[in-house]
Amino acid sequence: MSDMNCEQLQAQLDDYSDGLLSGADVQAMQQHCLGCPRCCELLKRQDELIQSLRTMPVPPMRPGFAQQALKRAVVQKQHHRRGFTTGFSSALAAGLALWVVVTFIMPSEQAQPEGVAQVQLALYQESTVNLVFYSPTPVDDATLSITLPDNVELVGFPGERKISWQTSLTEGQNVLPLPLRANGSVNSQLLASIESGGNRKVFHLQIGVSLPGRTGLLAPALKNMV
Amino acid sequence: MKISLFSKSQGKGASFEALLAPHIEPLYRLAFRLCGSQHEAEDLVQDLLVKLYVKHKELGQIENLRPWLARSLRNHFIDTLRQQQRSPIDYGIDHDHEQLLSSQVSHDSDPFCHLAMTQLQTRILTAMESLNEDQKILILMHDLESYTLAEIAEILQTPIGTLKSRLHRSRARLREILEVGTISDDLTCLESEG
Repeated sequence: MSDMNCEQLQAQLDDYSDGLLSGADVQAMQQHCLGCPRCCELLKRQDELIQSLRTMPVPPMRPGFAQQALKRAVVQKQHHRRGFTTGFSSALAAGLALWVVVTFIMPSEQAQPEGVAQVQLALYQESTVNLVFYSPTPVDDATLSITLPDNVELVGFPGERKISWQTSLTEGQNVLPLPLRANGSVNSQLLASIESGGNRKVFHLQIGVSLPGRTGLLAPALKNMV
Repeated sequence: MKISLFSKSQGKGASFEALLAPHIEPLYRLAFRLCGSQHEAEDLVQDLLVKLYVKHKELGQIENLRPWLARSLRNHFIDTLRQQQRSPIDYGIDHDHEQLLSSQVSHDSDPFCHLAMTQLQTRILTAMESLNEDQKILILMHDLESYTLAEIAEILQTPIGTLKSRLHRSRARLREILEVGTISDDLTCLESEG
């Protein structure tokens, strides 16, 4: 074991506190302290400081916060306090969000006809269409799929024509914001399907495309209780 | 393409929720250290998650999410401060921290020892106010939240050598300030406990 002097000890003090020194170096440090009250005091004060810092308390998160926060990020709820700051947010902030409500029918209920709603997008402009899935009961394991027509893109998913999510639905409203951009002026159709326990529901959304400046994005909220 | 939001798989291709769930508490803790308020810390984390979800395809490709997320959180915190026109950056260590310290329930066998530690931590918070912002964030991340210097180098985009010397100066400064109040007197009870 090599002898350590005061200067060397001070130079290695932080590595010692961070547990980065070898056993031999720690021993050399302790050995030096036996004969050097000043370094002994320094080491003691450093230990106490680090211990106090590492045990500085943090109040616990609210129970369930982590799970709720993740869910809110995925299925952004209407009651989110701050609104959205990127991607989805720009359209929402501009008041361009279009709302379409879908009811998800549980297997025990009677089959009902599939619904069709319409929205109007402005060519090359991003708009958020909020699909609101209403479920009468919680659903744990649902697969939600969006199939896009050739002229419409889901922002953030360039070139993707079909996107699926595995998710759960809470009782009541579940909002899926879809930031859409029309890259072609033809009218087309978007398909949203939701599937759980062998029960599948398909929803058709007619997309009309207008030239910018000619038509505002004033399509009314469409409520399609199917 | 299928995005599995709630699958249990990890790593590349894992779902948004599976990837981020282990990081929520560390993010919340860091957020609390930054803003000093439980409520604001939760808001910061929530807002960050909403931002991240837009990029969830990229997240699975990131080799080490912990420093990447911490960097995102800090950037988001600074953006939020700028939007609120709060300047200079206030890491909030004097907000709820002191209240929290005073309301701590003792789990120590020796209540005097608990009291001494609480008093010392209160003094450390005060002492940290004398550090500059670079020093503060380094102590918060490294000594309070146990981010390694290599991680902090990535988070703050600062060379590790710079961080080492900064850490050395910051700890020396804190020791110096606390020495006036004889730090060792506060914690003699800890020594007797071994």
